[in-house]
Amino acid sequence: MILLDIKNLTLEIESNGVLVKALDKASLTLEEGEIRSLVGESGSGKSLIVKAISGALPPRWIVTADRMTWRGQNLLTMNRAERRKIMRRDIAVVFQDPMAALDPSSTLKEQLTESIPEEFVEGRWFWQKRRSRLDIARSLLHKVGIKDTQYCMDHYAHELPLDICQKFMIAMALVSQPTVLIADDPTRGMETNTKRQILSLFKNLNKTRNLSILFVSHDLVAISSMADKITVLYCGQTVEDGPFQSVRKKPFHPYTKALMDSAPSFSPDLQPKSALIALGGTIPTLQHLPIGCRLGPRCPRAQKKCVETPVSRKINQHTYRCHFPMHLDDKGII
Amino acid sequence: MPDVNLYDDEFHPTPWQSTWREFKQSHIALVGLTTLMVFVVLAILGPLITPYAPDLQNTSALILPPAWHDNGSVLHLLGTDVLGRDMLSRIFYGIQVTFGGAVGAVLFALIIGTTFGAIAGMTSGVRSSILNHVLDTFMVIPSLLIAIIIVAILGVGLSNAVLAIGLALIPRFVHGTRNFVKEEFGKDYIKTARLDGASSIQIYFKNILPNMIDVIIVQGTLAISVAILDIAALGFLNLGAQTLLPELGVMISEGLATAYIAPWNILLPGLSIFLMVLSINVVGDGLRSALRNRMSQ
Amino acid sequence: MSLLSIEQLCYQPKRPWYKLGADDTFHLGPVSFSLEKGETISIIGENSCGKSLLAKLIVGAETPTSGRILLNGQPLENNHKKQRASNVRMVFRHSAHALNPSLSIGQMLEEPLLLNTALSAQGRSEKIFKTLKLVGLMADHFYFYKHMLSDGQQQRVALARALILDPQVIVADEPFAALDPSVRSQTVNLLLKLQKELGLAFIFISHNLGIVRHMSDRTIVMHDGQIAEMNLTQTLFLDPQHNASKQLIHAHNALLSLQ
Repeated sequence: MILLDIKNLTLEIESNGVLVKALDKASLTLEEGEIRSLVGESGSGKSLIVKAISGALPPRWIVTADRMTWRGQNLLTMNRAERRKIMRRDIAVVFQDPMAALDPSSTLKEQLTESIPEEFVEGRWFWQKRRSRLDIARSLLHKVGIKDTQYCMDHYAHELPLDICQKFMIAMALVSQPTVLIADDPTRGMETNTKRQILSLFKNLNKTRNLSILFVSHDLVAISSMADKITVLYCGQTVEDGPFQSVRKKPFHPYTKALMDSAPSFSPDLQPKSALIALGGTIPTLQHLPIGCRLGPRCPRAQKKCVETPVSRKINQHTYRCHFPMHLDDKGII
Repeated sequence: MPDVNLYDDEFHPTPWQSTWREFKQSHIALVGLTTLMVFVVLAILGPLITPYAPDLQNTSALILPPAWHDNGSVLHLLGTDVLGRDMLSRIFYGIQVTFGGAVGAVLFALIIGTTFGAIAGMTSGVRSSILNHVLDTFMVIPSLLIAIIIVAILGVGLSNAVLAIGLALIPRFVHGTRNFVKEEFGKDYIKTARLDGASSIQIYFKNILPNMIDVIIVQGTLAISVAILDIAALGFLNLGAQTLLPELGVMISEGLATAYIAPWNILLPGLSIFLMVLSINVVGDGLRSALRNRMSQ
Repeated sequence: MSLLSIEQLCYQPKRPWYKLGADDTFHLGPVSFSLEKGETISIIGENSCGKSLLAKLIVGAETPTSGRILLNGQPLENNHKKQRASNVRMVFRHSAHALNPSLSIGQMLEEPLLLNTALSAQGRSEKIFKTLKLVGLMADHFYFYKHMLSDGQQQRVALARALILDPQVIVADEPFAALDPSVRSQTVNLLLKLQKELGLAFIFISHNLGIVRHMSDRTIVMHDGQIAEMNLTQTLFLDPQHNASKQLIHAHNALLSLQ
């Protein structure tokens, strides 16, 4: 069943008197029980999509979409109360830096027990409720793999190591038993051991609780270990979408190929200390977005036709938007 | 040397230009700045354009109301006081004394305070901590009280009052500068400068001072408003400027005696003080938000 | 004779006078290794194993308690700041505070020249323009300020500041951590090109094992302040010996293995 369905989402904002499209016809779907990764560099608009889904966009943004639904209900026409209810119960978000997201002045126990919704707490009198909250908190911490729960709960955020803090953030996100977890670059800056623990936790949660995960990142190695599907975003345009293995083995869009090339681990036959294949130029700023396909100025295969935005084409669940994709040669013939 | 502008459509301002641009956005700040400029001009040129000397007593025109009253005369635009001295001239002189005195006190406090604060920020250890926290306790006491105490020791008079207020304002500059310098020294770009071989003094002048000037200016403008009020207060209490000097606080205290028959003797100096302090606060506030917005871009 | 030779380097932070009891502070060392011209060594290890501290000791930001560092056979001491500053330079991790926001790029690059060389004003600007070109920036960037540059360009400025004194060794602390993948590839290529052209030796500290494997000739694994293992990169990644190395390499491989 499709949980989240976004089609042709466009986000515009006025900058210096001109309307700029920060997101240009971006599309994304999330099905039940799958892990989808949203890959994009800075300026690609991935944080904007997360904000649009959670309804946290400031009012200056103009939001238009062909379709933006949650379980069939239209998110754009929903009123705020319903939207908030969805955000509280069904969707949970985990952010980048757990130290910044946790309250530095209260212990972890207080923060966790405070956020447990009323419905899950048993008991009628306040001491019963307190005991029930503690039990729920402890079981959550066990589920995310924190072994020494008493130690963690009694301490403050800055006294605990990074991996425990991030696992705690995930526990906080799971408190309302959501159906979807949106993880906005949760493993940024982590070393390999910690990263592996967090990622295997995500995989575990996905398998045992059928939790769908939207993993937003640009760390391809992290994504490769657990994602089912991948959506690639460049400068607000979705350039490729499909099952991860198929996109990795045979990327259609030049940008996806450049991304895959940027992780030397994906090309085992690469000669050590040889130059990596990289796209020249830099990511354009909002003020200087190219017309048509936004990769145009940097793309090695770009031709005159690329000033028109390419349409979305599909081969076997693998969608791409390119006039001269990798599986065709320069003239557009196989 | 190659030409600068590669992108003609992009204007790359220096930090000062972008601060000015942000500042201009607030209309209130611009109004405040204009008023402040008027006062600055008056403080410098005022005495040259006054029609009368401030202590010239015109016995034939005692307690004359301002010119827009029925009894007033154009010769004395803002009226006269109980001794027949022209209010307009007295106020112009008063602005010079009060404003000038305040600026002098603040400059004194600024130079000494920032030097000490910078040294305190660059050194570390138990001794410097003790010094800083002792000075911090002085910030709790209102500057006016400290000034009164110092004047009580040194004796009354305008110059003593300015010195006293200057001394009372030093702790806040030391505090602000020390915090800023300490924070800056922890930053990576200072570490690289050190690795290049720069000594602490070189680092201070080349790297930290340009960043610090913004902070100093904002603190300085707000300190001037405090200093104006303190000088006027000391003058009012006859602890600062004495009766002979045309100082705004002194004028208010003299005008109290004839408050009911000649209210303009109090209102007009009071209004000048009010406008000076208001314009400085508005400008200081505007500067602070402009600097903050510039940094966040 | 090696370019850089680290011999029995030890570091122990000074204990404050009020701390009594057993000594449980972090010890580094003894650490010994050597670096040849044109070689790249990466230092990997879990958090707080002493990698950043070792980098600081090599560059001169901290003074070692014992041991010595030899550059071309000559011992480097902290008194000879100029000699060290010109030959062993550091590129810090990219952060919001890596560059001074109120200085222009030209001023930032001129500072090391003023402090360490006797070039005239003309000579200095020529050197700055040459270095800007070397790292792939334009001459116009001389007048730019920090906020006008993107992350990748700021990283290049940091690199230019390291290169401007023509060093022989560059120590880089997590140079790729904060960069996007495409910018990272460009920076990797730039560093490889510079190494070929100028014969630089690099010491990298990184968490990104994929890049480490691609870029370094030898890898050092640090654990608890000691060198746990040091070997040729390819050998280390295929067959780690020490427990700490095994943990890291296995975790890395686990991430890469297909589902």
